[in-house]
Amino acid sequence: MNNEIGISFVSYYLPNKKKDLITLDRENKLDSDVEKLSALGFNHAFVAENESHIDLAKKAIKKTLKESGISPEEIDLFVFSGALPGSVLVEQSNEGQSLDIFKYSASKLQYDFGLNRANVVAISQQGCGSLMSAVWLARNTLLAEKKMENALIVSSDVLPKWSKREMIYNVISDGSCAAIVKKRSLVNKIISYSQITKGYYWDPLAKKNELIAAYFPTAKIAIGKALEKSGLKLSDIDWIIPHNVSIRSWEILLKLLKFPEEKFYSGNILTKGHTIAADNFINLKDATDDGLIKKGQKMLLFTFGFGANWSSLILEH
Amino acid sequence: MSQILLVTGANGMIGSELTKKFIQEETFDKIVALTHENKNSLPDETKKFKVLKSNIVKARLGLSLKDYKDLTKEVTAIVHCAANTKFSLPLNEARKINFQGTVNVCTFAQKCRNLEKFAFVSTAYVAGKRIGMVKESDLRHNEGFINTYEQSKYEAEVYLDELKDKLPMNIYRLSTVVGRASDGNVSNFNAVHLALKLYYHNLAPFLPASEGSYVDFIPLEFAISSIYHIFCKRFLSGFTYHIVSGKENSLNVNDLINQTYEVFTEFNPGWSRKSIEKPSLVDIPTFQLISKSANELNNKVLVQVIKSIETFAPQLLYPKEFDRSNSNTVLKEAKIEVTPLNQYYRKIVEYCLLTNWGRKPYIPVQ
Repeated sequence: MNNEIGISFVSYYLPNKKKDLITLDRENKLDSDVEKLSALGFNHAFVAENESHIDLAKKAIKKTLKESGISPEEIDLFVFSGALPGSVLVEQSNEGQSLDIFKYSASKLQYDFGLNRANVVAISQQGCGSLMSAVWLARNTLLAEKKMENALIVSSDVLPKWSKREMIYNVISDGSCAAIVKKRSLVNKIISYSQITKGYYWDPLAKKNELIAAYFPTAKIAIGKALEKSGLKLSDIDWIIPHNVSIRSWEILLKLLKFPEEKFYSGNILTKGHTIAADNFINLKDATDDGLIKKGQKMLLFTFGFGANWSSLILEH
Repeated sequence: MSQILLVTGANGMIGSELTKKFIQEETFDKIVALTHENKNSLPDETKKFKVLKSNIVKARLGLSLKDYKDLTKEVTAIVHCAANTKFSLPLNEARKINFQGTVNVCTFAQKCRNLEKFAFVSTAYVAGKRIGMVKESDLRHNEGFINTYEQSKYEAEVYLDELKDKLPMNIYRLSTVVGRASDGNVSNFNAVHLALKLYYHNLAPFLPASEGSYVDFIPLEFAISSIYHIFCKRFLSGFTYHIVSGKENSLNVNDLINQTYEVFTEFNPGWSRKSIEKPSLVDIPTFQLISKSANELNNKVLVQVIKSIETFAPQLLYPKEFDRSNSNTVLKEAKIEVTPLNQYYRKIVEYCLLTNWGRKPYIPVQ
């Protein structure tokens, strides 16, 4: 990969409302016992009660543009990624005009932020891997388009009110995360990316146990592929920047990889929780802000998204 | 004096094949087969072959007083095959047949006034969690066991060891019998076959095993011909024999997984479309963490899967080699050689697939 392209800025937004497991259980939003989920490392979920995914996306984009100093006119590519079907459209309409089904979130956000020069693309079927896929898409597009310099990517998801907050032993938060992928980035150069999609598991309810069984061996292989593409060994990796799906799942995966726990950024798993596609990049932002990531250090990001997609991204800070 | 043989567990995998062999070879004037359940796997009774329903856990082996007494008068040889070979039993259950049953058979044997030979069919894995070279003369250790089958057979051997001066005794320690080398037939689906089934159904992501560890399986024919030869032709009291394949005739765990993968793919091209990964080899702490997580989640399927695997596979984390000095000496002269696993393993896997692990009749592929 051309290591000139990197993720130069990241911002995120989590709703103010935080519900603990007991509250979620009382509201019938969990399938498993509170104690079991707590043992797996879950604590609470961020819940957007009066905000839509568009509201959340706007907050993350606004912060990113402001902090990066990049003006909307400088954005050449805008990639919106949402893991949930409801994120595709600005709002759901059960009995409105047929044209309502084309009220795309990506176009509205482009207009709202005045990203007038930006080509607009949306990713909607990568589950929790969608923001990582957006990085890959942005990187490849910038590489292919000589005149493009900056891509703005964003993921934003809000679970519908009727939905449970637990999905196969994961407690899910609402949230959004935006990032600038740019040429000649001074930080977070993209070294390699790998993705394994196993369509056999397209129906997670029907294939639940098989999917759980497949998760770890396939994760190991996806990580191995990203390392192979980068020419690096696992021992060259300074940090694993995780998704926030249960500390227990990471304890197992780290043992499987034989990767030292002290090089694993676990700080956010309990406090931030699992925010669908945003986890790895929220963690990247916080780990950087905490001063943990030093210049030149290599980071490995890994996530899994329903679909079923196992994705791994290697960055150099 | 007539030579009368008593076989316990005569309807089991080893017992039934041995009984057929004894009948076929006409080594004994009469054979009495003790069976616990049905006798479907045995030939019809004749003047020279009698089947008695019994229960070796009970006093007098569950026989009538008359039968018991008559047998003590006439039996000259005993092959004690009866065992519960399930790996997942609670220890007290495993001990019932494997230990107490052995005690009862030995009590009977000591009452047989004309007894010339007594053989106990055991397992090489009485060595439990020992690592390194295990001699045929070795027995007692404090390393622990992977499952209750190993432990209960070990306890039976320790009991027998105390009787070695009182009974003319052989012990035959078999490694895992996976089926017939000639056609892949599996008459007893055990934990190994269940593991294959889990893998086929995409439910075996982990195998507690170390890289390069090898798996000692033996085919049924080798087990039978070895026991028969040593017991009938070269019986020498006080000896224990490892009836195993040895490293040179085995496959390491990676090769075994690869061959299994190939057979599954060839048998069912649709299987490879599922992109099922080969199981990852993990150490004990990792496997324990996975087991703990499955239990905490109370996911019944995964808990069952983990239980099935943990009753035997961790043996692969305790690499050991079984010394074959005694068995080699007597088997080589008779040109009894074990078929290398790579010559018949595929047939075993195919048999499992073709019969859906014993649920369907076997119809060989032409």
